[in-house]
Amino acid sequence: MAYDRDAAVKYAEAHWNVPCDDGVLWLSNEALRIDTLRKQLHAPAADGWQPMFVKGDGSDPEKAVFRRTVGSHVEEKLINGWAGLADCAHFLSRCLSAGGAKINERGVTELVNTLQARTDTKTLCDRVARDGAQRVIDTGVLKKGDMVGYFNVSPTGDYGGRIAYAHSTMYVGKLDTAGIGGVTCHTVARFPPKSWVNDSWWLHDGYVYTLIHFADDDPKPNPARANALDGWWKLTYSARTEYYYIFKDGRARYSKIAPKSAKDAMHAMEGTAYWFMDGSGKITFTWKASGTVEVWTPDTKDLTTYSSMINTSTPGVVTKLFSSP
Amino acid sequence: MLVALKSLLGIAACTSLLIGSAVQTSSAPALKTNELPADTLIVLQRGACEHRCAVYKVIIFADGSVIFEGRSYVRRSGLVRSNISLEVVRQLLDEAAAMRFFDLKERFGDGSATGCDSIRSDAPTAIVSVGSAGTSKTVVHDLRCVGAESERLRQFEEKIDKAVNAARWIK
Repeated sequence: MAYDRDAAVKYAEAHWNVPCDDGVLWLSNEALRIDTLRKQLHAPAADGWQPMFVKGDGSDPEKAVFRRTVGSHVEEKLINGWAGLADCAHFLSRCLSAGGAKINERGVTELVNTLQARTDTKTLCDRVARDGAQRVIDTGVLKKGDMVGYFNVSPTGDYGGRIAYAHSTMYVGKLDTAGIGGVTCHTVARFPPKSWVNDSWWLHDGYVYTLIHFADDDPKPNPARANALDGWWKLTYSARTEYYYIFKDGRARYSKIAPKSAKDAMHAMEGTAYWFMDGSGKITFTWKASGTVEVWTPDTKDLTTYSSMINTSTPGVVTKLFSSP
Repeated sequence: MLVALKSLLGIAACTSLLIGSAVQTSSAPALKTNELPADTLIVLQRGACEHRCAVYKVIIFADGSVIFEGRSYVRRSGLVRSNISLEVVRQLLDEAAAMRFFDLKERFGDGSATGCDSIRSDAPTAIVSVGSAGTSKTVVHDLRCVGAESERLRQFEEKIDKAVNAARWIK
């Protein structure tokens, strides 16, 4: 069954500022059960108490509370202040599960690993700088319901500057045609434009970004054109020459070492990519390690020569060397 | 000991509130040459941010004694007592004077972009208080504020951290 993006986003919209439907709220080191907390804090649902995430006190970004409104008066019982809240991967797991991708992780690193191991996902870029990730987003390949991973690289960043995944969100698409994109998450609770924080997908400085895309509903390339891509290609641009091996299943690799024949294995591979073809035959590559976006436009009817444009600014020429044996 | 330290922190917190509201200009009493005015007090509080910034308070007294109170996302939670030399305290006071700390606005970027060239995303608020020889001031500094004065203030806050080697309790 294909991943249901609408169901994942619908779940996020219903739960962005409340604990997930499994009744669990994750802190850094433990799970809090809402039904247990209700008893401990004397906050029964029957008396109107609802668990939720709200803006924190002072400079705290968020807190978890039971809240109810009595007349015009809002009453609150604190579940947990900002320190310790860590429900992002859990929330994302529940969103993805609502979309049919059954996942149950509470750590971001584990969530990224689990998603990357699935056969229905493609990692469009892996820990790349913001500009690179934005380029990938601008291709339109990343869609609502896909995942954004935030890897801290700042010595003053999350958790004392630990160089590791620190946060995860779900992409909800560009907010308008000129927009740069928005995300939904827990800790801090976001669903644009509903949250008290309403920022761009990259959230803050100090991160590099991983974009993981559910690929089952991607448009299928024209089979004849995909078959014609299969094999070795030579790209020349800015006085450089690189050699690509393209698989008809949507993968690509490159090296600076030329192949001698169609059967040659690639030596000294420099990078990997996924490619996506639209109805006109235009091909978009997203290079995983750099966030480089490359677009090929066919020059000839026999599909042996393409014009290439790298990151919308550097032109190149691509010619077929050998078809797949 | 813990109770005593907490009591001391309470006094310091009250002091920082008081010095935020008034600037006194009475002349300082005569001092031994190697001493600092008895009312010398430097306080740095760092608040929370979405990046899980370390939340803590550093208090430096006239005799060079230091109290660190780690609240969240720190290596050392609770109260820690330490000491720095009077010379280091004096350097911090000199730094404050050199950057005209006592003439700064009382708020930077906290609820307003006034005095900021731009506002960047997610950064904590720092509250800095400096008092000595009857003069005192508290500045609330939202570190999202980008601007020349804000940058000078940020550097001063870092000097307070370095003076007490706060990194050993944070990371």
